Amino acid sequence: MSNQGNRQTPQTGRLYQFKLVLLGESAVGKSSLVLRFVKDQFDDYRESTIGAAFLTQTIGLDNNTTVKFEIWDTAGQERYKSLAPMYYRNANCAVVVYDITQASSLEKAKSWVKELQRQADPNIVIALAGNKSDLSARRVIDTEEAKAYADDTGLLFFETSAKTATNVNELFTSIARKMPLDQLAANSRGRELNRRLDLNRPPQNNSNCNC
Amino acid sequence: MATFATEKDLNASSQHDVHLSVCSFSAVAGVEDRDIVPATATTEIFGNFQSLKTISHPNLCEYVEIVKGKHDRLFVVVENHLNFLGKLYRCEDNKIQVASVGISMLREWAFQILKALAYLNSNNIIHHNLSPNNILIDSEGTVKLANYGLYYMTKGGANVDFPIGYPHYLPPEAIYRSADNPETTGKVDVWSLGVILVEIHTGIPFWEGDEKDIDKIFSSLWELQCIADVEDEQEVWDRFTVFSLGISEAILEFLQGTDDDYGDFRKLVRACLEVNPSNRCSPEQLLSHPFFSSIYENGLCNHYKYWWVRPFLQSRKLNLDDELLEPQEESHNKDVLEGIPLSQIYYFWKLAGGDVESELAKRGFLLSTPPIERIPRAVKVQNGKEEGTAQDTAFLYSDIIHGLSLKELRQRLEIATGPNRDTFEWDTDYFLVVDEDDMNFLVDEMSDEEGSSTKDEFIDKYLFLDPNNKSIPSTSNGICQSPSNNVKLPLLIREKDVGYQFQRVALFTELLREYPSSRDEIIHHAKVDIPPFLRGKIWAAILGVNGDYQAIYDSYDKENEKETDRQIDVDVPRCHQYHQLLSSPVGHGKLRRLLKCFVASNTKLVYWQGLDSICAPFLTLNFNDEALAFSCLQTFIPKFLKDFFIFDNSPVIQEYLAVFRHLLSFHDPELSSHLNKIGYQPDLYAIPWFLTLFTHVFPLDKTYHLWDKILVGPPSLPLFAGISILRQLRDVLIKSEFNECIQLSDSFPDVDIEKCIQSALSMCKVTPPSVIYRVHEEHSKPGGPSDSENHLSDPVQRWWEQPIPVETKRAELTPRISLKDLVKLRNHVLVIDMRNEQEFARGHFPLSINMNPMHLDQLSHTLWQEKKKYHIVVGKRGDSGPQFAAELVDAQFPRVAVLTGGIDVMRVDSEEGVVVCSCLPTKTVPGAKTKDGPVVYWKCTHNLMK
Repeated sequence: MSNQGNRQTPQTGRLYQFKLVLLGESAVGKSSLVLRFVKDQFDDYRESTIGAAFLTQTIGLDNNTTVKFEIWDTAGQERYKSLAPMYYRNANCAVVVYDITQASSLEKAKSWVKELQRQADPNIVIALAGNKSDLSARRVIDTEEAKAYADDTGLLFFETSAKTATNVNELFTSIARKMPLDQLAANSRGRELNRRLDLNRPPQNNSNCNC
Repeated sequence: MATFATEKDLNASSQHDVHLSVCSFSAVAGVEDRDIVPATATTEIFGNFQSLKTISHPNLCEYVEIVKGKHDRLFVVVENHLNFLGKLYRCEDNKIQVASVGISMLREWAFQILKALAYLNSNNIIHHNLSPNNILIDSEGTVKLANYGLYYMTKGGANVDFPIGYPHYLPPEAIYRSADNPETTGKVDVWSLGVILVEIHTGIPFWEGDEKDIDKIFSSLWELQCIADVEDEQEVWDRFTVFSLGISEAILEFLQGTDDDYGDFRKLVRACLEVNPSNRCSPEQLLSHPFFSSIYENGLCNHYKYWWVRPFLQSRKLNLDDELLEPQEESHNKDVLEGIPLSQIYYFWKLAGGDVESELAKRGFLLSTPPIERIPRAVKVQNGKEEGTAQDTAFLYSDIIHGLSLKELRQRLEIATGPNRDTFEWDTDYFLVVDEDDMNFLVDEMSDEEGSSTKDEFIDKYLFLDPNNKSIPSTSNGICQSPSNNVKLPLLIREKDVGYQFQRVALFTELLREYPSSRDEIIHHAKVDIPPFLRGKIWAAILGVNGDYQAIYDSYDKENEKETDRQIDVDVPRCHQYHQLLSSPVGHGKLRRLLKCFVASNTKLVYWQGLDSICAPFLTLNFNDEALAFSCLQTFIPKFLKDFFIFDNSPVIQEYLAVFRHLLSFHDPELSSHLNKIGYQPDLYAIPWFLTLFTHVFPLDKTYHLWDKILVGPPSLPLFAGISILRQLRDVLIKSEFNECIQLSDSFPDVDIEKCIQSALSMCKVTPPSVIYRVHEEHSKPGGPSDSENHLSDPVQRWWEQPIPVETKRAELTPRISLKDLVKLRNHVLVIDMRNEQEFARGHFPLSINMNPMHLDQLSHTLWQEKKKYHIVVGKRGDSGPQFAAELVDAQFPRVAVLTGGIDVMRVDSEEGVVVCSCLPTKTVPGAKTKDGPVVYWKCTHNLMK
């Protein structure tokens, strides 16, 4: 399972693998953000995500550091919420997405942030992404309002557009930079063992998460 | 087609001369700034067109199909007739002359035109394009209006760059829309009719001078409107001022005339030419005009045929098409296309190689201006938009109607239906084809039902017996019989074979006409394949849609706001948007209503994302019949997706996925073992597969083929289809780690659906029912008296019959099998008993092997040598052996299962006729040793159950 040995990374460099989960209300553009980040594509009529989708993308932070994201893109519909813990339980980082043209989507994002802070790995790095910044004419959520919330809560914050690619790479790069790489390097072996999804545990029971 | 028949289906058989034609145009480049979806104008027109296909009236040409070609050019396929009123107009010495026609002829024509217009208006359609060129006359002399849908499908011309309607025939308000009358109404067409009638009666054009001088007509129409606005005692046409407008004097003289010969006719024309639209009559109102009273007196009989053929032909030098003059020979062979609906003829025409776009290209119609000549001489860039590009002349509108030749189709079909036709024989029912060396539980279930049936009879039987009708269906007509060769062509080739499809469509048309009594027979034939042309109706028949489904659909609230609306609203515009119908605004509206109706009608079910995808096949196949699409959905979900859409569906889905995992182990232990090791669990990739029965992962054309089989198959077939898909990707999966695997299932490479279904069926056949048993599936409780009695008399489940908890199922890699199924498998099975030898000696399944599970490594060679197809683990109460079974899977033993209840159940359950053998088994010591001593196994050699 460990790909570290197989990757063609510079001899001196290090490859870090992070599990990233995307959360947020339906149709805010989670899948589109991933598609832009992973394949640099955009699809106006991206089909809705059922259950979850998985993709990976590797980025170089500097000459010595490469970060591989294993991305779980989740379904946005409220009803699929019970599946979410399966994906975020062992996540190292999360992108919580809202749509700047939908007032309700920021509220939903806030509740995801709360849930992550309560249930997920206490060291999880969370970024808040206000997507669809290209539709500024229909904006209903002020940048300042969301920024203030993100600052208060200790989240990274970006306004992104999957359509125009604005801030998409910046978002993921910033997350990578915020990860405590040195600390992770020390216990990366331990992490390796845990990174597979734990399916057999009932999703509600997260209190004894062994991260 | 009694149940699903549209008006068109019922009228089809009265069709006589068949002519298809095509006209073509392009929409405006794009409609900007739509809310969620920037639907292009082309897509909008495409969607709006669909309901025109349902328009059916004796005086209207049928709209057959719309086709999107290259560069978004649209091709509209329509019914055509060779004669039209435009033929009365001829140009001599630069002057237009109109061959005038007797008054009774005009009365018939006017009456039929008004009937057609009134019908259109009642369907919210305005012709707006009426001219002598699109008033066609069929070989019977009946008026057929054409091109009446252009204004409608383009939203009053908003979606196209050209104006709709001929100024020559348009009323003032169509050009100068006044504030009092902003709405265009059907009265526009009444004016046009008035102009046409008076032209044909007087023999001269309404407007004097050059007909291309549109400016002059426009200014005259403006003046006419002004004249009409002036208060005067005299009616407009009686005033002197109208003589200055450029309207032919002879026509004005007729309008002002007083002779009584044409009194009623003049009144009608003047009513039509009422300048103020609010005072003008509607088509409906004009039908009761005194001019038509004689028609009512004569009881609407078809006298006009006489008038058309006789005086007309002899008196005027009209060159009518020769076809009309030829007397119909009764002895002549019946036209193969007679009585077939136009839409079907067009479908066959395409199968015979027809293509509207290349047809027009061949005729030089779509000749593009070479790109070099379209390079703009000057470019002004404004707001990112390029201006100054020269327009390609191929995009200009032309109202030319191009006839499509049916000659080749006729030839092909005459061969296909003639005495030397191809005979087709496909697997009659490959659900039940038996491999001599293997089990077939599907056949097996049949034999339970019928007892002594022979194998030949199974072939003709159903998989799912209708409890109300157990009789074997007889083929009603001989169309698909007379098998002579054993060719099995792939489905995709059969679907393109015009001769084959012609026979299939004829067979199913006949069967559908007799539905619902023919339902069994429909299912029977549908197992071979389903002709795509009738797929929507055949599916409905298979699903058993019945009764007044329209009334049911109408009874639910689909408009008022509901809680789930937001979710539906964001999902609809991204559901299968590559599909032309689903991406149109009309399609969005329909899908939304279907989903809202589903939510409103199923109180226990809720809207889960994915339901939109499930609706898509039904909606696209029944686009003009939402109610039918809805009824299909309502009958489909309980059968294949029972409880998948309840509020808390997690136990249902978990169980489904657990069974899926068991089946994978059962049929492909190596793959299952590998995927299990790398943690590639169904929960991570298969939820969208099963929740939407693959509609979310396959494009619709593949879904249709998959569902064709799923609909006539057992409810477990989707599970096997899922395994077939994994096995098609097997070579990659088995070599891959988690990340590669999971990304593979997200975007499937090409999956061959036909192969997938065949392999799914062959797996399904050899899988015992108890292995695929699910608590949440729909169990056959069709309400038959015998069934309910059984349930009453057997209310208590015996301990081994208790359902296994979902958690246990999920934890186990292999399925459980019932004793009943084990007994059926006795000739193919190796029973591996894992108890200790003393217990084994006291009683065991005949011919079973007893071994210590710890010794699997050393004994697997011995087990392989038994060469059995099934490997059943027998344990004891408390540990029936799932762990050992999983080890067998890892060792790649096929079809491993655990006997439910272990050995005890054999002792207790006498019903299955199991004889517990208590022989002294043979001891074998193969020679291997472990640290605990030599490896030993015991084998029973008494076959008590032959």
